Amino acid sequence: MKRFLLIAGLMTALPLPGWAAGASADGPHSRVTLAAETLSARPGDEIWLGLLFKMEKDWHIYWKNPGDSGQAPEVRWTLPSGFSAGATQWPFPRRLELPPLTNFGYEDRVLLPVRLMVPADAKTGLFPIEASLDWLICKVECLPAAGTVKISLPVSLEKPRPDPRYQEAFARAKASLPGDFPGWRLRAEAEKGAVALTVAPPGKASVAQPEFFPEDGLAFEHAAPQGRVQNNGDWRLTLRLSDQADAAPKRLRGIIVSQSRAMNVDVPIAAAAGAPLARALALAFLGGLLLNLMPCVFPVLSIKVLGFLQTPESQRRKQALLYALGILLTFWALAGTLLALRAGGEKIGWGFQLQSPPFVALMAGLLFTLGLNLLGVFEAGVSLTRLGGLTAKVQGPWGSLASGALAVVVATPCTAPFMGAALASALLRPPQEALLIFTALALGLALPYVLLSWHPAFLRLLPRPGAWMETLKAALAFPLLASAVWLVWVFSRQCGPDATAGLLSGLLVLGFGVWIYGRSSSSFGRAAGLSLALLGLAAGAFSGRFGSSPTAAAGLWEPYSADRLAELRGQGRPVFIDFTAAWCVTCQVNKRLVLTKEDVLAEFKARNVALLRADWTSRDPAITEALAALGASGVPVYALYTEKDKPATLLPTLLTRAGVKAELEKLDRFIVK
Amino acid sequence: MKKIFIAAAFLAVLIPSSQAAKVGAPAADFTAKDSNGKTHKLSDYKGKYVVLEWLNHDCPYVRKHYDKGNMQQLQKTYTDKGVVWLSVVTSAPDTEGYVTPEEANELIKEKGAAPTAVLLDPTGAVGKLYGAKTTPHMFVVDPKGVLIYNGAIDDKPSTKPKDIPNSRNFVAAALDEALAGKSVTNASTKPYGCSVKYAKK
Repeated sequence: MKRFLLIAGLMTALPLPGWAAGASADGPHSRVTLAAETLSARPGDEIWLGLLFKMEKDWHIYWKNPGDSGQAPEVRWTLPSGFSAGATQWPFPRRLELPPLTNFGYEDRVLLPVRLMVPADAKTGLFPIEASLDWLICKVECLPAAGTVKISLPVSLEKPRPDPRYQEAFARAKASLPGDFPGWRLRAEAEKGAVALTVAPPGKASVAQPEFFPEDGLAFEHAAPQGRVQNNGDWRLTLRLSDQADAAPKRLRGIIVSQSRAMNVDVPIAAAAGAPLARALALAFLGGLLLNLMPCVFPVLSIKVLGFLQTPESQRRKQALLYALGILLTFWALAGTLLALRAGGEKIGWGFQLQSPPFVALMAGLLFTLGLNLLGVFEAGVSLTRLGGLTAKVQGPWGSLASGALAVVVATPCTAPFMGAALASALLRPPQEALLIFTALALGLALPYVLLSWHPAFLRLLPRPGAWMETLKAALAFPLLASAVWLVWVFSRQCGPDATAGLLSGLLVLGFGVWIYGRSSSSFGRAAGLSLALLGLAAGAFSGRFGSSPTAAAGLWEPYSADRLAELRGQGRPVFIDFTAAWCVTCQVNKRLVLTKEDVLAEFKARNVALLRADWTSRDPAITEALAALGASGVPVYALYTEKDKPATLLPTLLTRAGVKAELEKLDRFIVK
Repeated sequence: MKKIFIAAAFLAVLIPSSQAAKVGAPAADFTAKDSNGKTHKLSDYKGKYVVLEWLNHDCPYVRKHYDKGNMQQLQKTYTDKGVVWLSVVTSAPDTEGYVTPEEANELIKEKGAAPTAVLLDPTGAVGKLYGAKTTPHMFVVDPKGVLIYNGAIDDKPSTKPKDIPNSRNFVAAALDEALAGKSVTNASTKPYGCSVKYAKK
């Protein structure tokens, strides 16, 4: 009873927060107060203390990374035995510019929270909590300040109540502390003299201009603008490295601030992904050159070259330039559309056009028609031969432009070596760079023809016009028809056998209509033929709306899904992902030559590597996202996941059996048999 | 003649300013007048070690090193060894630390300082050339004109003179190592101090 009364008496006698003089200390132009969030604490509790700084107008103190100059406040705690204090927490700072220098700090007032741990065996009573502080306060000039602050913290068994004087300050401070936001994707990449930080909000959330504050005071040029670019909801910040930075910093640490919230950043810095622009431009140009040899484009080029023989010399250069212009404009239009769609939120990559079965059907129809034209089934205004300049009429400027556009159109289903990689990387870059890459491709495509037109000498090598031209013209139909066959195969992979029958029937009707058109001399006949042809084309494209891809072959390869990948990695199994598509020629080649070979598959099996196939033949935003996370926007991509938390190793685009086996052998270091 | 002049002027504009402070790269050649009106160029000192010390006597961090004679001691020790020690005042007129030539000479006497010269840089040209951020901010250039140190004077950022005996002086270490033919271990550190008071644009 006595003890109860004693304790009760003690509890009622507990003073109200009578902070003894000493809770605040004055410095030049500033005052710091030691605050506790609650009026008391229970044994075993963790409560928040706060260092509340109040500064005169225009005077500021500094963040943990003060920036180019200055010094962050330092605190040393003197605590009763058993008590411990955590590290000082830093609400997000403001940029304080003093050109050409930049600092990070706080103006007016700020509360720096610190966690206090009360030991579980603390007796009830008052405990002195003391902090000795050094801080630097600056306006333009700086003044050092120091002071000691002390409070008596009651420890009692009653439930702690918040101290009303500091409730708002604590709330504001806690809301300004950087947090972790799962769902946001942060990626850092090394660039020349800078680090590129990509901030991707989840879903379609949009965020206002984020700002990065580095933890390291030496690595970055604090005063440099952060080059913010918004692309499809994601922000890309370019953080300039300072003269004193490590040549290749490995980790990016700091915070991102946007709309009065702050997020922690602690990510590895990936080595410069993607070729430097010059290399991508060279690849694109080379790809464009090689595109002239592809079965889709080669006939067009050949016809145009033959057309020289019937073009007066004075016209040749002009027509060649217009052709080049046609190519350039069409590529820009294509690039512009792709970039606009990406910016609008569509998750597309290079090759996206072939992911749409109606488009594939239309292209197949177009190539089929062009082939028929070369075979002589019909002649028409917008025909290859007309555009090629093989007819008697001299080609007008529009004709040359149109032939350039046609060259690009027939080129889209074809991908030349090098072109795929260059274009896939193009779409991940800022828009100006992407357009430059497409321009390089266009120039590569146009160059051979323009060169030929410039040097009359070459044309003397061509034999005199004659009957051989008709034979050649017909022969060139076959590469075009072969390309059409390939597209029908892609279509069949996307839509299944029934829809393919629909497409083939449509092509049949198209052929019939075109034949009627070609044979009629009356305008009625021609109109009928044309209508029939268009009907066939439409029917073919329409069948692309039905049907579904045939079920993936069961067995060794599982279909890719992000959940399955996470599951397998959680199990500790290495995973190999084949990002592929039916319309991707390189992918098919790799499959035939490497990924279906017995010995390679045996190597995978021996190491218990899970095989996932990400089929991108048709639109699949999940796969597009997975590709983007790996730094790619096109296929093929071969990703090998080994150790649990390590990022994937990307194998080269052109696989070799030896190469794959060598990569798998590296796994033996990690796997415990 | 006119053509050469124009070409030279053109080239002068092209001299890169931001890479001047990279350790391992040639240090930028500056031109500045000292407190006695004499013009100094970095290229004048080829063949000698040069220390650049950004200075502002009103800054508490500079005071830390001058009040107890630490900086003066360093200056004497190394100028005796043939090192050229140039203090640079980059404060703009009407800012903290700005001094007229007469005031600069007064301060040298008053503080007992022993630099080879005090360069006056009120326009901030030399400061910007080197990316000087704080006072003090220290640079060391070797006899070949290559920058071998860029950073703080020592490893304890504070305004307290009592920290000096317990700190590792980076400048002394760099000079000692370089003079002994060794490479500098801490060649690039984060400078601490008050901000350099550049002119407002």
